[in-house]
Amino acid sequence: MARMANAQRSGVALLLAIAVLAALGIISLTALTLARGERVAGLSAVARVQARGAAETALAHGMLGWPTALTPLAAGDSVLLSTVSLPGAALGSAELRALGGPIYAIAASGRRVSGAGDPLGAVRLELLVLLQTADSSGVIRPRAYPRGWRSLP
Amino acid sequence: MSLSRKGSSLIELLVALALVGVIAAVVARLLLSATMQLRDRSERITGEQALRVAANEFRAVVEGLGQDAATGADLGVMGPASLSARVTRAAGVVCAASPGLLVVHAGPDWWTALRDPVAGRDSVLAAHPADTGWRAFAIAAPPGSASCPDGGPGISLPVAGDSLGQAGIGAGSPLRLVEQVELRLYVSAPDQWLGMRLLATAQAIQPFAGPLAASGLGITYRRRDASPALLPAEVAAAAVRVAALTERAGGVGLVRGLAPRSDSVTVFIALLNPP
Repeated sequence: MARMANAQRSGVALLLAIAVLAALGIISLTALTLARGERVAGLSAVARVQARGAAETALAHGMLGWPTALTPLAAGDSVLLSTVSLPGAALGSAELRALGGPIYAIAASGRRVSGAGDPLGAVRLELLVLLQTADSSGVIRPRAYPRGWRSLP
Repeated sequence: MSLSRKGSSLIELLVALALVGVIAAVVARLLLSATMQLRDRSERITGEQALRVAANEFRAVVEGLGQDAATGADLGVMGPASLSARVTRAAGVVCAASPGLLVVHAGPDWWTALRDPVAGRDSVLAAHPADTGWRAFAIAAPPGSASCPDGGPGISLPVAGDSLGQAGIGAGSPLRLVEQVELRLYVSAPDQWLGMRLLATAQAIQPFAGPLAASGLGITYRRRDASPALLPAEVAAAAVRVAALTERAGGVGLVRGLAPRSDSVTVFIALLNPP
């Protein structure tokens, strides 16, 4: 009889311990998931800022001008104007694209990559430009078209 | 000997029950505290998410705004807790034009769109090749499929507007599809929310972030020199402050359940195409 009572008490304690541990485990896992989500959101915001910086830098380099012979002529043709690599592993590039008329587009993209090369954030920008006559050194310098900036999806 | 064992077992049982009771009370208190903290954290994360959504939406709407001499400013109403603006929904390049009709390239490298054009709801801005800015046209009839002169796919956009304004617009002219939207604070009792409304339709305002604190949205408009802008055509940047609340009372310990938690964010948005 006494052995039976002891066995019942042990069973209650074990069940209680398991239930408490399960509840604590669920709470801990939920908290961990929430914290991880917050960290990912924070890192993503920083990565986008870095990617945007790279895109704007590449576009600024492109706006410095290019040799006349480099200018694409046929609608849809494009040529790479500049590439940049910024500390923090952010890469940017800008290309000039002919639209079929006197207005051209400089499209820049920036991306932030992890140490393993995985993309963490990417941004694309576009600026419409008019081309001015080449200067004495044969370099064409673009001029921004009114309301020419836009973010690409 | 047998009696001694029985007495001992009873005392053991009482002690064990007392211990289990004490431990259960402590554990229940710990669990309750952990649950409250988790709920509090979850509520705060939801509130912070509302702030992120609000900041991102305002940035998406305000950043691309601009102006030019021919079509004026994209910004319409500039209130302290509301704004209306002409925002871009798609962009492309014209491949052919005739009176009352624009055909744009539809290939993936040419046409970037959040959605398809809708007659009566959208307008288009087309860039004039000369350096005189953009021209605005309403979409007069539902868009359709077409072919560009180079044989590629196209989208035909029947447009209504000044035929003189269309003169000069042709192959190679950039084009943007725009619509008028309003963003403002509105009350959906008992809370305040951030909402968006399409001005070209009879659509009711739709909430996209909240709930907000009282006076939970504040917008100030700045010129290039950071002085206050009074007219839409002067605006070069906007500072948007959003204050969000948790939907349920938060907090643990002494402040448990007293009031919803509040948090706020201020974003300074420089226009990509300032005056």
